[in-house]
Amino acid sequence: MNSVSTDLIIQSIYETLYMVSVSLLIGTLIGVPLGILLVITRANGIKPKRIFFTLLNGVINIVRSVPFIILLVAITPLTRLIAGQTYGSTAAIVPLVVYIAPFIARLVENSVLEVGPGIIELAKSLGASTFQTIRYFLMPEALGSLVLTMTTATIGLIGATAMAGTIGGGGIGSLAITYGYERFNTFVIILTVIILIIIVQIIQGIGNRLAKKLRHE
Amino acid sequence: MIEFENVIKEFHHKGKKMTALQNVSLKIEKGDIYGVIGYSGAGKSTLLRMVNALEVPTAGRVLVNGKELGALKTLELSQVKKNIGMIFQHFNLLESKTVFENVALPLVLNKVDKATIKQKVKELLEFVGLADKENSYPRQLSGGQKQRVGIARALVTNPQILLCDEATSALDPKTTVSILELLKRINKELKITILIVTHEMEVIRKICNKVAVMEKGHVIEAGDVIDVFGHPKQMTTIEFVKTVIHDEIPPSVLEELKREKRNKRIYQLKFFGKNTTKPLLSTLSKEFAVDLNIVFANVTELQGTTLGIFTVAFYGEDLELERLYQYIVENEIAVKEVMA
Ligand SMILES: Nc1ncnc2c1ncn2[C@@H]1O[C@H](COP(=O)(O)OP(=O)(O)OP(=O)(O)O)[C@@H](O)[C@H]1O
Ligand SMILES: [Mg+2]
Repeated sequence: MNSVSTDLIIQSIYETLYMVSVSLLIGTLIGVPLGILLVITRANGIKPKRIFFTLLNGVINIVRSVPFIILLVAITPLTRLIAGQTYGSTAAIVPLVVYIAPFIARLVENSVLEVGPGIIELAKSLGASTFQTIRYFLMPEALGSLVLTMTTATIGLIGATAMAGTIGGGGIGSLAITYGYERFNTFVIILTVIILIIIVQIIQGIGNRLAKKLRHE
Repeated sequence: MIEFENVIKEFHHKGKKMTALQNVSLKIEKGDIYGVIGYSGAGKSTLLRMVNALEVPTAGRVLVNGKELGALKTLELSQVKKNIGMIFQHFNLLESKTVFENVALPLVLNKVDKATIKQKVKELLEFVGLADKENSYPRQLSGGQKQRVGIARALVTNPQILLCDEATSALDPKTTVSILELLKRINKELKITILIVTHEMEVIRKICNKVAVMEKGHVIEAGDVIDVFGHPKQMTTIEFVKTVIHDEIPPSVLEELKREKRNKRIYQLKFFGKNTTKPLLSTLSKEFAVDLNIVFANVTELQGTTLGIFTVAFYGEDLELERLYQYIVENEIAVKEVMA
């Protein structure tokens, strides 16, 4: 099959999914709490903490404003420290997490902020604690929107993994570079694009359906 | 049951001071349906929200069941708050939860066991007439049904006090009536004291026994609805009363009265309760050498009693008209001359 074996393609897809899912998982574990903290510590939040909010907000802005390809190179020392190497799918997870966690935090912040002030008023009138307000009021109400958020994050992550692949992260991006671009093999390039489109479509479809279900529309 | 003592509330917004409540004192007794009416920005919501400590007074005291909220520890305060239910203008239902789950929420927060929750929620949905809707989502309900869910949720913890902030302002007139009737039932059958804030006089007229009129952070008039409606003193109160009780002579009739040349005086008479049925007018026409003509009449039902307003033109000699006026005053009928 035009110089790439089916095994190689499957291997690449597997690597991409591995990078996406692991970095998404870790990124979510970091990003969701940060997003919630952004909501509750802001000036008119339920537990305003000005200095903390300003710091967190600033750090997230800084990381978010660095293009992924530069982030990838810039944090190489950190990657070596954590993953023990700078090459391969596992190593790529470090910059992917650094990239996606602040992104998720921002998206979560927006989703939770969409929950109207009336719901917070209700929580207060029922004497809910801060934790209860998050657990029983904000999160359930934001869930539909959060699912769409996570879909956006996942798709952004797929794009980033493709980029990580270009500098040795493996996956579909790597396949496109080494077997397509460097060997002038248009077929492989088109094939990788099609595979990426299919993956993105599937994820978007699942996300939309789930969100719709959660919103009871 | 609820007492406001010289309550002042100031807000600081962008460096500017804004006094939302200026020395408000008010007493709500057990069993009352107490209405607070005023235009937008009068401070009604701020006042209401003090009862469950959503707002804290800048000065003065708020007492619930004799306990001053400001002096309570967090735990005692949450105990008092559990005794107070609240409903909102925009219902504030969780869109992601079913009707059942929405009503159950206060109990879930209080860590009540599942079996009790189930029984309590069903009981309340039955009470508000939504037993068949427990698995629906708020999106599938009408405004009136949503407010019923809000009411069931507010009552599920067996509170003694229900706070209503513009509970019917988002509803059409017919739905408003049905929600007001439900509130009345809650007051009668469940013996719950209700404090209701509104800008609709109709709400006060339909269900309240007491009313306070607010303007620019002050309570400008307060008391039994029948007294305030019968003898409104302040300009704002008069305007509000006008929205539900018409007492003005229709313009066409007024024109005609002006054209007449006969000597006359026009008096507005107000009758309360059993006074309404006294045959005053026939007595007047028999006892005095006057002719009379009713130019305007209106009887309003209020709190199981009636308020009748009659505007009557009396024709005759000045002396006789003066005697007639004295007679009416002596009979303790509220009377005022409308135009010369
Ligand atoms: N949290 C706040 N911060 C600053 N100002 C406030 C705040 N809450 C209320 N106010 C101000 O206090 C005044 C009274 O507000 P309040 O909401 O009690 O009025 P209201 O009588 O309930 O009006 P409406 O009929 O519009 O609900 C208003 O001028 C409002 O702008
Ligand atoms: Mg208000």
